[in-house]
Amino acid sequence: MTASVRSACWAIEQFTAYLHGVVFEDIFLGLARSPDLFAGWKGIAMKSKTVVAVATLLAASFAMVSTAVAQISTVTVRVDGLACPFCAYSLEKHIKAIDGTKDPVINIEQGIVTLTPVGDKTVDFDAVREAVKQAGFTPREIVVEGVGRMETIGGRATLIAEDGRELFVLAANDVLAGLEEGRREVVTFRGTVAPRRKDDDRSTLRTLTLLSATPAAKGEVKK
Amino acid sequence: MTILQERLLAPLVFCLFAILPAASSAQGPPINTDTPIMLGIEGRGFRSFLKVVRMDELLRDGDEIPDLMDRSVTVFMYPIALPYNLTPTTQIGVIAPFLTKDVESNAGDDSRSGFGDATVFVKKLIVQVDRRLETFRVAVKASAKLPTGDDEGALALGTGSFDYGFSAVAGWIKARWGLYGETIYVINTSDSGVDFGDRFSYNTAIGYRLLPKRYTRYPQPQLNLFLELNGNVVGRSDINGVENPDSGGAILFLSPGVQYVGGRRWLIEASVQVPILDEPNGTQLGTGWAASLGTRLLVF
Repeated sequence: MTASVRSACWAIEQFTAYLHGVVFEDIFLGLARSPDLFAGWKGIAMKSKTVVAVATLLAASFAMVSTAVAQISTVTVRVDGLACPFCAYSLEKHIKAIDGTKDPVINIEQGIVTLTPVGDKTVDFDAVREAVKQAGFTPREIVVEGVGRMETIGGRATLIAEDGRELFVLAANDVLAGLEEGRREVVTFRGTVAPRRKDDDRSTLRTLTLLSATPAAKGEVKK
Repeated sequence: MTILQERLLAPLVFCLFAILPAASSAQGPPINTDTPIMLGIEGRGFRSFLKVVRMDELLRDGDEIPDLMDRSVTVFMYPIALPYNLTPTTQIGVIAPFLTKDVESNAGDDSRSGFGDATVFVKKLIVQVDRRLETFRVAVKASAKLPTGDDEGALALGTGSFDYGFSAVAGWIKARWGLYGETIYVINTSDSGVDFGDRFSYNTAIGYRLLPKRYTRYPQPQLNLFLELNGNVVGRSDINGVENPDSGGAILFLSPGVQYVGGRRWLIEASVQVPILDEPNGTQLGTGWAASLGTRLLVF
């Protein structure tokens, strides 16, 4: 399914010249995240041009097959205020309650907690931040590591990780610039996930700032 | 029980309760000082300890004088404190002490045990500045002491009055060090014509994680050392509108302590309190020393 969706996104890319509107791009990209699919549909239903695009998307999803898949291997959250070991219990308790992650490792000396995504579930980065707040600490940057495919969708650089459930819009920086020629490459990446903007309750997209990205070795890419 | 004994011991009842709330409401790593960091084992737990206070020197205006009756008082306190975090920044709790008081003198010995006055409190975090491996927080707290202890007799277990406390506490932790400061003002109301003087308390603590030197993966056992200053200034009491000259005063303890955190859910701690300033007003028994041995358990 996800491979199909990702392929469909590629198909939609072909339509962006026709659709023009940036809003539509966001909607298409948002479709790649299954939990927000219906939110995307809601916006789509109100725009006739988009209905055409969705039909195309569905058709493309059945027609195209992708070969490369990838995954997020770790999610590391910097937790400010994590200075007292006896305080860490509440952090561990709240982090453990987050669906889709397992085995949180709290490193007091570095002030970080590392999570491992489990199964085929999507990591809810908002839930991670909220868990840290509820535990009484201040969440800072979230760094994800994994393997993903870089693609250009709607004129925007994106990175699709593990079966398309995680899709990031890539922020322009030197690391990305260094990969310009490697678009559509599968890469091992490490990057910072930007928090959702307060005024943005519609977009399902996350912006990822690459800290590093290198072409993935064959063994790192699941077929 | 002679009139002199009653004059000496009635203020003692109050003085003990002046010591108790400060000690039993300390939810943080410091043993005798409160903390604004209401997390983990301080957030939803159980705390209890045995505190022993020994008073055996008769003082007049701060100077030791011979005591022909050779009086001494030993108080054993077993407070149970239950803090509960309603939210990450709001905590409520209750403290219920069990007391045993032993009085010895040439005129005879006396002893009494039972539950003392319970205290309920609410604590609110008002400042939180978090940085990497560092936190600074300030909380305010309001408390009410309820007259749940028996206030009859010279060896009363309670004061019989509703008393109200207001405090502010600040704490800073960075790496292996922690600094804490607390001020408390307690307004004592009257009961049966007795109005104990208001109390001002001030506590400071410095903590140091002795072991492990590097704390990497949570949880690890740790050994903490503390050095605290715990002071009380108490006003004179009124009895039926007449000020009691032999009541109130000032005391300052130097309190070294050690604490072992054994895991996620428990710690044990011990502290000795030595008075470096003991100036009770008029003629009263002075405090020789105090010591505590306690534990905290995370239950929720």
